[in-house]
Amino acid sequence: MPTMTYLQAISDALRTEMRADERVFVMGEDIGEFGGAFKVTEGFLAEFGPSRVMDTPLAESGIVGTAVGAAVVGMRPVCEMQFADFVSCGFDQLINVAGKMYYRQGLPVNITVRLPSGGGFSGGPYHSQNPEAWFMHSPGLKVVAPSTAQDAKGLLIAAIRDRNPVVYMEHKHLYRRVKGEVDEGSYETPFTARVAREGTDLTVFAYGAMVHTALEATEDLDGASVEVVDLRTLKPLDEEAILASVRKTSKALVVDEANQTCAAGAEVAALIAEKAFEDLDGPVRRVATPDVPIPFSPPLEQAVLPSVERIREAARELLEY
Amino acid sequence: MRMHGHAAHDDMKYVPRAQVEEWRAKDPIDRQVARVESYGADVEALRAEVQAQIDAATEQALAQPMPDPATATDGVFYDGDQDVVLGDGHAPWSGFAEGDA
Repeated sequence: MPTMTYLQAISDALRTEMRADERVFVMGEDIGEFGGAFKVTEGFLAEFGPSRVMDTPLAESGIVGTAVGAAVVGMRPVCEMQFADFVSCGFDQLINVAGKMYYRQGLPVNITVRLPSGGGFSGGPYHSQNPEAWFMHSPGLKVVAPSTAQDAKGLLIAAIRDRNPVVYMEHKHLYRRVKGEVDEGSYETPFTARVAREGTDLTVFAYGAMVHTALEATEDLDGASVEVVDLRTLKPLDEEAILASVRKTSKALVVDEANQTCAAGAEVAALIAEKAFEDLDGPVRRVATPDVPIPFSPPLEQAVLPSVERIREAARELLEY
Repeated sequence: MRMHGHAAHDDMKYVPRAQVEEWRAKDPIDRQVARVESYGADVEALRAEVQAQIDAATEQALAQPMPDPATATDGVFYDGDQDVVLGDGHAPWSGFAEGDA
């Protein structure tokens, strides 16, 4: 089994699907000759040609709208937003057109929108956001957020094959930092949660880059046995896996790199409060980024993003219940 | 130029009459009618065909029972595995109708 970075796994998924299915094509800003801002599509233009690797103008609404049109006549487009932050320019096509097309007109919209998201590298307020909750809130869209190379590939293939619009959150800080064994060929990762580490005293729920922060924070925590659940898919949330873990550990800490209000973790906390109240031995605790734009200044950014220390502190308080 | 108010409740009194008349003379739909007629298209027949489609669809919709409230949250996502694509390419007004190319 080859070892790949998270970024290579994303490229591998795209390449695998494009080789297997001529309906799959990619569109985005500078993804052709330049290979994409992060080089995810490097070499794609040479292999697949300009009709399947389309450089677009800086017009996210046009990118998503063109993809929707292509999808309803039978194509399977994959759009790259150069940074997740820029998807706000493509909002109407994604939220109002793609998300509602099937309910309104019975036409499935088989598109995947890749969103390079997340901070931690002084990218500043326009290149560091985690906008997944916007899409969770909007009916008709699925949202996935891998944390490992193996899942990055499998979730992207599953997203491309899913007949519905899927928003694929790829965390930039994991691109070259995370490596792992990745299955060769084609496979789909199901839209379910994954237990990243088993434990019995407390569960930390996280996704994307925060899975790694949570694992590091709780690896050696005063001898406590801490379970870490990687949500992997945010819409639909894997209710069964979330509730099963809480029933086992009776304590839940929910971590978001996104801004706190109405973040994915708020939905996890609400679910636990509603359906696992009797199983809890303490309050559901949250660690998230406060409601502030992501600062450019390194010490300020580190002050707002959830850190190993903040997670350890919250976990310790919760373990005392 | 918008030739009618936003909806039935809007009589567009706030738009000067002369301005409306000036733009009525330049109405792009009327100009397009003249243009395609010059190519020999029968615009009235096309209008009648489209109107008949609209009337039939309206009649069909009105003949349906009102939906069961229990189905309000159905059909947000497509769960099947069929290829469902738009239309059959029948668009006689596009100029690329079957046999026309």
